Amino acid sequence: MVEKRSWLDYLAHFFLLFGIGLMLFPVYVAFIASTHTMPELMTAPMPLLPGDKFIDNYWQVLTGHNLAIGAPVWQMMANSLVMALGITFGKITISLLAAFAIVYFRFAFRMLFFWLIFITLMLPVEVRILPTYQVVASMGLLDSHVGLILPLIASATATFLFRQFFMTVPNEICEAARMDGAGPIRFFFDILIPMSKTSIAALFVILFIYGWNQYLWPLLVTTQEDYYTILIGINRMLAVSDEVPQWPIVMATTLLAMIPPVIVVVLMQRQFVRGLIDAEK
Amino acid sequence: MAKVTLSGVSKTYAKNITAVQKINAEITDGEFVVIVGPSGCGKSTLLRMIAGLESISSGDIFIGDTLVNELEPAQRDVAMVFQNYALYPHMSVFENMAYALKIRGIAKNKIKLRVAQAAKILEIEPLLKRKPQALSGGQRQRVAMGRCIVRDPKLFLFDEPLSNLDAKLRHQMRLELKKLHHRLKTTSLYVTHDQVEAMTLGDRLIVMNQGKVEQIGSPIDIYQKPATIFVASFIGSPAMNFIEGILKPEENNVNCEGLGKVSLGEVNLHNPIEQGVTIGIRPEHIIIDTPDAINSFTLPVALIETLGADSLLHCGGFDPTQPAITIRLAGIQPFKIGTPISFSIPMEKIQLFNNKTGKNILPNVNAM
Ligand SMILES: Nc1ncnc2c1ncn2[C@@H]1O[C@H](COP(=O)(O)OP(=O)(O)OP(=O)(O)O)[C@@H](O)[C@H]1O
Ligand SMILES: [Mg+2]
Repeated sequence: MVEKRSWLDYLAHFFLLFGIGLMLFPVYVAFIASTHTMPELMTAPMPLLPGDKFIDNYWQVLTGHNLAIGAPVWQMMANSLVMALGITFGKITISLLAAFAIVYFRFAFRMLFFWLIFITLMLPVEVRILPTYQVVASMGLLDSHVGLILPLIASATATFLFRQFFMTVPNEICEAARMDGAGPIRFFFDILIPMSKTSIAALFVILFIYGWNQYLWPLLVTTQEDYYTILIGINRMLAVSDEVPQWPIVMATTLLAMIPPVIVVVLMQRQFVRGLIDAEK
Repeated sequence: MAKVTLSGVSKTYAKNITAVQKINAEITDGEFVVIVGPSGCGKSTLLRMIAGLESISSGDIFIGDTLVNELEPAQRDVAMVFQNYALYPHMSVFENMAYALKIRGIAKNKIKLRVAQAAKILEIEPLLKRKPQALSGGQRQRVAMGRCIVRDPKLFLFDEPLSNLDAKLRHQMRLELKKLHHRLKTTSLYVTHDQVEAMTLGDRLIVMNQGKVEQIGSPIDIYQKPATIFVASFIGSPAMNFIEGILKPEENNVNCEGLGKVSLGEVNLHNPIEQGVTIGIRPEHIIIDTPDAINSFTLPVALIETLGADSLLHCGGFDPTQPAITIRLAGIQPFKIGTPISFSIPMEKIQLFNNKTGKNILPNVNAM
């Protein structure tokens, strides 16, 4: 290794640090804002050091009295968690099964089904949101967890990714399993799923964040505060009429909303990276 | 253990690609039979049909006395070693070997015992806890074999199991396979395109070409009495010499352009008429001697390959009418390139093939 440090190195580090600062500064400001009282925050210049209302503000947020909306934040977070996990597990299950069928079974119109799935990749949720709403409403699923989760479960992207992965699994593995006496279901659970472990982990992270950040759909199907997700909650807190939003409370809620995705990313970081760069051979 | 009977087995893939044509063969109980042939001749297809991984277009396959045409691979009670081993990457060696037994619902302690026994035979006991990724090629090979042994099947199938190993390891594994077969005596079918593997491993060989069987016989039979010119050229290294000529039945000799008359002695040919034939003579059977022996000819040396234990003399071939002949001699030879050399072709070692059919027209050849 060459030990010489050129000015290019320093420049690169400078830009990296600058970028990190650019990313982290808003988060820092949010944190500062969540530790002050509203009047303190409104004075110019805005304080850039933590205040002493950290415990008060977060307590208020979590227990839910004196908020602009009726539901406490922990309940909204629970709703978000249910939705995110529901979407994640649902999507992964459905896509694994769909990809398994497409890759390993020869049935009539196989390619037609594959292309149908593939084409839906091109249709974003927004395009089909009205008919979907109609269906969910007539099934009586408005304001329910199932209504929040079910329409978002089908995933062409994940199906496609698993299909690609399954196609890299050597055919002989499947044949060896057949010779060993494993039927399709055993092969799926004993061999294919464990072999897809890293891909599943990577998708889990991506889909969890996707589910957690869902906004439009929950906005449509939830009207009761009991079913608000955290993002809807934040939105409602901002949309107060005739007064200034309670910024310390909003910021505290925002920071709390960041925690679950961060936990998922940190915990699954290693599998995530491995799943992205190589499929375990 | 069981015998295997193939009767009229054919395979036609989509688009009318005929990979295997009307194969008839009987493999007796406990026999080690090698299917050998050039790449693309349908060996793997045949093996996979026996395994049940490929459907049979026509014909019947019996394992023991059971017609297995419609049976799933697992119901046939056969085990297969794949060329790339096909070990389950997420399972340890132990789990890989135990998987088939687990599926059959065999008790845990019995599984342990059987895996331990197989591991002992194959000397892979220290590896049982490892994942396939942490094994060398030779070790993976053993595990793949272990996976078959623990099942104690009626039939072992091998599809070029040694072709991913380096030359030295291949040699070693070949010997071990042979020992293993002596010990277990399970009927085995072994596919290879390597004629050395075929000759050394097989009790009998099935030589295939373009989807058809050319000859079935013991390695010695096939070496000494090749049924067709294809078998003659495929088996043996360096390859047999071929010299074209016209058969003169009334004189019992063959008139070869650029060489002269080659006498066959007193033989009862299948179809003794004047016809275009090819003489086959193995490099190791040609004798260097005095010019007055029977069937003695002279050709200039073109090239000498010294292999250490023996030398290959490539003679003739200087112009299109002059036959090119390879002679194998023991030890290191003092000949110089360009000097004429006298050699004789022993009559009793000569093979004679019809140019049109490619068939051996000497008596006592068990052709197909
Ligand atoms: N799935 C398939 N569809 C169409 N043709 C096939 C298929 N599999 C094999 N073939 C053809 O059948 C013929 C025999 O193939 P096979 O794999 O049995 O050859 P092989 O003797 O095992 O050759 P190698 O020594 O290279 O493994 C080949 O011409 C091949 O192209
Ligand atoms: Mg093959």
